[in-house]
Amino acid sequence: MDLKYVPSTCPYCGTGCGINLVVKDGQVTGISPWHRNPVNEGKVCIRGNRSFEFVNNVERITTPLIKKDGKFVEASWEDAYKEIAGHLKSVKGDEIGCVASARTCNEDNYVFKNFAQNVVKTASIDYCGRGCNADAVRGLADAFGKGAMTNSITDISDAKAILVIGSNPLDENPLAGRRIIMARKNGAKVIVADARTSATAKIADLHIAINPGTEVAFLNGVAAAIIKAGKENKDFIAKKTKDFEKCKAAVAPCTPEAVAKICGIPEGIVTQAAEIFTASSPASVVTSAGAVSGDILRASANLVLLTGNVGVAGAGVNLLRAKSNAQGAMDMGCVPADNGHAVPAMIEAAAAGKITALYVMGENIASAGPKVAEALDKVGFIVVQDMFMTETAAKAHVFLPSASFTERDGTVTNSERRVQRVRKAVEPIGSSRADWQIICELATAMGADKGFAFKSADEIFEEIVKNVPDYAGITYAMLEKPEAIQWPAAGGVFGSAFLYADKFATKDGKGTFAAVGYTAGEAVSADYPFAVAAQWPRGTLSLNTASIVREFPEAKVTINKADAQKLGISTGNKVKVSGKDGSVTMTANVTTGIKTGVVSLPLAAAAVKLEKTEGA
Amino acid sequence: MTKKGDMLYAWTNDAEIQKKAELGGAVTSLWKHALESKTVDAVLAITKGKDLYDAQPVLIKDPKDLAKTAGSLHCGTLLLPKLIKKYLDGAETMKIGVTVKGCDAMAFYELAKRKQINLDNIIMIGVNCGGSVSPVIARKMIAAKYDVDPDKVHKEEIDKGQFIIEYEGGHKGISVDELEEAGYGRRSNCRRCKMKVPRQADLACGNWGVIGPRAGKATFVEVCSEKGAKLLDGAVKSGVLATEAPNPKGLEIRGKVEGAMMKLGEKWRKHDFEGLGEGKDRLKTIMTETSRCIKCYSCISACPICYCIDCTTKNPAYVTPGDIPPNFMFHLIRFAHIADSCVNCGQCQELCPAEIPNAMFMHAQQVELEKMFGHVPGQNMELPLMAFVEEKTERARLHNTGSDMIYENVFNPLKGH
Ligand SMILES: Cc1cc2nc3c(=O)[nH]c(=O)nc-3n(C[C@H](O)[C@H](O)[C@H](O)COP(=O)(O)OP(=O)(O)OC[C@H]3O[C@@H](n4cnc5c(N)ncnc54)[C@H](O)[C@@H]3O)c2cc1C
Ligand code: SF4
Ligand code: SF4
Ligand code: SF4
Ligand code: SF4
Repeated sequence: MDLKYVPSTCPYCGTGCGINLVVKDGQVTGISPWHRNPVNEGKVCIRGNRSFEFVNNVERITTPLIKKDGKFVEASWEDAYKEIAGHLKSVKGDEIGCVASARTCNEDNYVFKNFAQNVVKTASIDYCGRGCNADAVRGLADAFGKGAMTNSITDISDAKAILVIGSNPLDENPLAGRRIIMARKNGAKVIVADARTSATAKIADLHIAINPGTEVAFLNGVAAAIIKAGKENKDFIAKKTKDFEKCKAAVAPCTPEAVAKICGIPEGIVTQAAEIFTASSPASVVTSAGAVSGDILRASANLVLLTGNVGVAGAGVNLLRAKSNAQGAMDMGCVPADNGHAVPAMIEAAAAGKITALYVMGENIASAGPKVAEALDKVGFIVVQDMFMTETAAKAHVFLPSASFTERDGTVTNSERRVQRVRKAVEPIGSSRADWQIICELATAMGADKGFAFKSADEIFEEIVKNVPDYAGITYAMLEKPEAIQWPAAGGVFGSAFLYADKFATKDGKGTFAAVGYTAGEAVSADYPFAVAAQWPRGTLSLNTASIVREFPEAKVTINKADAQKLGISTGNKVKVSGKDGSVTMTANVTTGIKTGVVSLPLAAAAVKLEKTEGA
Repeated sequence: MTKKGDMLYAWTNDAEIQKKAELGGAVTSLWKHALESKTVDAVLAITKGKDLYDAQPVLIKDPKDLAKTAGSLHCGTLLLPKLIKKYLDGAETMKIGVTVKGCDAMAFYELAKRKQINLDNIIMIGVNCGGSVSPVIARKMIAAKYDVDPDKVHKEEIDKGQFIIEYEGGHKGISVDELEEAGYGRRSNCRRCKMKVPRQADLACGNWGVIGPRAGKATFVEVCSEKGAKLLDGAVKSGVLATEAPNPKGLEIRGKVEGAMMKLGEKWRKHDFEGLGEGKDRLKTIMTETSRCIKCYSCISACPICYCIDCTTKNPAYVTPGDIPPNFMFHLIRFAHIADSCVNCGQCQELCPAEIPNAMFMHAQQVELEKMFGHVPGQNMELPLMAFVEEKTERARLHNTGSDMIYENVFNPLKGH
């Protein structure tokens, strides 16, 4: 019997918790705490705790598959590459869409971007199934200069006031949520704006049940109240920022009365939130990417610029990412060029017959809803690299089996810009291969003569640091330290726990206010009377982990008790949920922990109608 | 021939072990002999992972690899017995030697009582334990209180009530009391711990009581079982270990230090448990704190008392799947199943992402139950309270009530009727 620990990074969310893989006789049989990792100090959520399960799931596909007469047939790697090369060569670059992955390593995404750019020659590359991540990152980049969280997950515990909006960290990014708990133990006041009495709302000092989609109005309201009370940080604004007047004018209509009406909250509460946010510093905003993220991020940025809460520990705008390498995929440049499409646009183009080939690495874009699945049916040729037969993979013409995070080396970059190692602990299962290796071999098979001759993940990383300025100077050797490195690494100064201590990274070094007006989204109507508070869908890894499926066996629609009574719905009933884009059936979860008129479900819809279909 | 109850100073004759060892390398030499003589198939010990704050378990089969396990890592807060249960077949198929702290030793007995570990196949060398410090806290402490870059530290030790570091350019010691006052120092369970000399192991080793010329160069060994005596004799005979009778003054000092540590543990218990309030107030404290739980299951997976395959917290009749936070029943189930046997190892607290002082709650209850029923967990193979329920009689009684949840869920008596 052999037993060994291999430190790695949790493959689930963007918190990037360190874990020890327990390897017994050549198999990953468990996860043990890695106390030494600074992000989570050995603690994990249920996903991290069970992150070895999907690795050994018998459902994993470990042989290349080629679809023949509508059925997948096992194939050799050579034949699979030949099949792909043959098809892609006959398609023009601008008809090809490439979807990179927020849950594979930087090395994979880096070669994938080069593959898109130089081999299939398309400008349409993106890394996220929905538009929100790119929006959010752009919002941050425009305000501060860098498209990333300003501070660290660890330093959230130093905050004295925290506003959580558009996010439920205790459930979604639990080990970042822990930092809010710690801050609160240190005396911080916590405000949570959420239509649901979420796990995070339950620990708040002030829970404000705002209507979904009204986050910007709320944030502007808080900004307006701060300005009205004369509590803005005038010195900071004068010295370090620009365009304050634009912001001031834009938030002016968001009076407490107006905001109360839009958000569906009591009048005094916005002023109360403003008081808490300015009562002590540092103060921070915690959020995550969702619908209208760009605006929410800009409005959040306004708030921290207004109060001088950037450039110090425990402050800033803290964007928590859903997937382990959302930050890294963006850092590697897996975003559409000016003339390219993001995923939602690719889907539209596919539906219109303008995208005729798709290459998807480690993302399940079809899970976004029936519309996407229909569009994929129109695409002439689809390649999917994955571990499992996802909805997207089922539509592939060629399926290439990826090695899991325990079977290959690499790096992932968490929400707080920390570049951490993923380590090969066991051999790839079956004939699966590391994603970067697949791309390199395919590129070579397609005739690429340079840029893909990598022998190891380490070699790719050496290329990355030459081409991605924020990663300059980082080496695998440096990442051996459990602290790893938080970019920017330029200039040989490593470990930026928070950004902008001296100046902003914008062209003129100033933090930039924005005029972000609140625009009402799709309103509820008689046809679709319920506003939707979006829930994170369970992804491919969760769906293939028995312990997580046991907790969350199915997607549920959460509805307030009073609303449910009117519709005759009780917990456990099947309910038809219809929105503009079609309908799905889900199980009802009736609770008092959500605002009336609001339902929560894992679908991209703004307003829906519910009908009970079965159940007593 | 040594026998149970003997006390002696011991040190290694192996040059390589001596270089790396903490206090003479007795422990590592004993393991060397155990492996060479095939007394054990493997040794499970602790080694440095990425640095001296990163304690990692290793399973050693080749005695040549043992040197890397020598030395004490005070940031090693791991609990080894549960790993043996989970990953090494509960020592059912191989003989394993394990270096144990007090909490490890206690956990072994509790797992053995529950038939999760075969103690016949385990040899324990105990190390006296004044406490361990969580690694990230230790690093913060070194930066804040010592004003030293934690990466520059090449040795840490706890001696004479001080946490001492050696670093590039010097060494510094600060009293543990002062550090703990400032919110650093040992884990909260360690402060309350009274298992200072693990006599339920086969040998108990430590530096307390080593005085005179051997101070710092030998370890004080108390022989706690015939197995231990045999191992020690064998190691001396093979030439890897040297011993001598302890200085009588040292013996006395050792007793005094142990007594002082017990008193300190008692002081912390009083401090912590009084802070919890009593009766309804205590319940309220526990309910408030546990209401943050995110149901990560870490407390369950790490606890040496938890072993059920079908954990009751996963019974949907008690705890609705997917609810975060889970209802209070989740915690009540743990209290009911574990409190009589909690060994205060601290795992459930150190690993709790919701910062719930779980070990403190459980330990507080264990102490009350011990007062009421006299059961002391972790010392020997005496069965806990719960074991005194005669299962068949109890099942029958439950069955007669018509609808018992436990009964229904376990046996489904009505199925097929
Ligand atoms: C956390 C800790 C606290 C201690 N506190 C005291 C004390 O207060 N008073 C006292 O008299 N003695 C204490 N000791 C024991 C002492 O430090 C020596 O381990 C002992 O004297 C044996 O010395 P040695 O040279 O023979 O051991 P070595 O030959 O150096 O072997 C040490 C053994 O301890 C194991 N080990 C190291 N770190 C840990 C850990 N964190 N958990 C479990 N096993 C570990 C190693 O793997 C190795 O097997 C403590 C030890 C530890 C690990
Ligand atoms: S918080 Fe995120 S990174 Fe940490 S264990 Fe949970 S899923 Fe993994
Ligand atoms: S609980 Fe006791 S034996 Fe265990 S590490 Fe702490 S002080 Fe040592
Ligand atoms: S470790 Fe903490 S958060 Fe996790 S299940 Fe236990 S009590 Fe809950
Ligand atoms: S309840 Fe906690 S402290 Fe007690 S034995 Fe279990 S893990 Fe250790």
